[in-house]
Amino acid sequence: MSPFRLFWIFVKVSSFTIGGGYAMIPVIKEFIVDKYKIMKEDEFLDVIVTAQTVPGVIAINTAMILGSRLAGLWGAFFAVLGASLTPFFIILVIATFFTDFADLPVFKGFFAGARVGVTVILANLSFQLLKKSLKRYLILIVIAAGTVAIVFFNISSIWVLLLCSILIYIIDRRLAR
Amino acid sequence: MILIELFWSFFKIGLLAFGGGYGALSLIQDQIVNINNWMNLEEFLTLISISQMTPGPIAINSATFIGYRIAGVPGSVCSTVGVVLPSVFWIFLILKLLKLLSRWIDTSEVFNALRLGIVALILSATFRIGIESINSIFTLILGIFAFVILSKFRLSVIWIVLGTGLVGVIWTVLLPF
Repeated sequence: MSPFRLFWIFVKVSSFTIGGGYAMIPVIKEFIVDKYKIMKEDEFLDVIVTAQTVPGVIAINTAMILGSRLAGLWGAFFAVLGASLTPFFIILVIATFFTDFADLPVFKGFFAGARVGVTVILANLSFQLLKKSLKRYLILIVIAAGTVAIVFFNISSIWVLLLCSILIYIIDRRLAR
Repeated sequence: MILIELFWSFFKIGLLAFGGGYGALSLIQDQIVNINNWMNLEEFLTLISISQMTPGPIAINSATFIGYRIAGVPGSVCSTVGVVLPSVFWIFLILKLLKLLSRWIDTSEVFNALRLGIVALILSATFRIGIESINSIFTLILGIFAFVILSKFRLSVIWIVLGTGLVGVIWTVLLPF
């Protein structure tokens, strides 16, 4: 894959990432897995997981891993550039011309609506990923407990990811026996 | 010099921020409000709400915004590069580590568990954005409608985000008349 194509994919992806890094996961998946079929879903999830295991801006971590997997060093460079340029320029325009833009009804309305859209695409992705383990009740319980721990008890997501994965690993081994 | 200070502060944020934007917020607040006094708390909270409303990762948005406020365009470039750069280091490290690890253990089994563990993180992001954005009967109906369209017609997730945004504009701008 050419680095410039990666650049454009990440420009598009970062333009629709409203409300934090997670919102970009369904958008990238649509491009990389569903539309262009460059990666399988499992491979893509491995990239997402790896990006979460180290500190840093998750969007940039993801862009770097995907870029380097698909097009080497230049791929990583252009993916990161694409992921950071759009937000950079949007914020620059806002900071220069209208800091009070957040009060304009048009923008307020747009982003209030768009965040509902982001919720929907994230919920849809969650359902897709859960479908595979619908019959493994123990794993569903672990995932539900992890979600509750993050949302209601503000436990750091890295600990939830590690603990949930260790439990799921143990459950998988027990079931395999 | 202010440009170096900006770069260094955001470099530290990128280096230590675990778990993406929400995890990084307290770290950003520490550097911007408590340590360097670049903004007071009220300005900081306005900035965060702008960062959450505009496209892009929260860490990059706030780096660009604060950099511009403190030292114009050069400031915004320095702080954005500062927050992005640590990802290069971390990703390089984790990819090397994974390669090394795969010699000793079968990492595919570990990743099988991690792929399910990450669903808890995606679900919790869904809930967090959902709780904030779906706060009225109108947004609930919009959400259900968008979800049905997404799963029945396999529309691009980008159109879902744009479409819900447009409905939001129509709702807030046209409805009062």
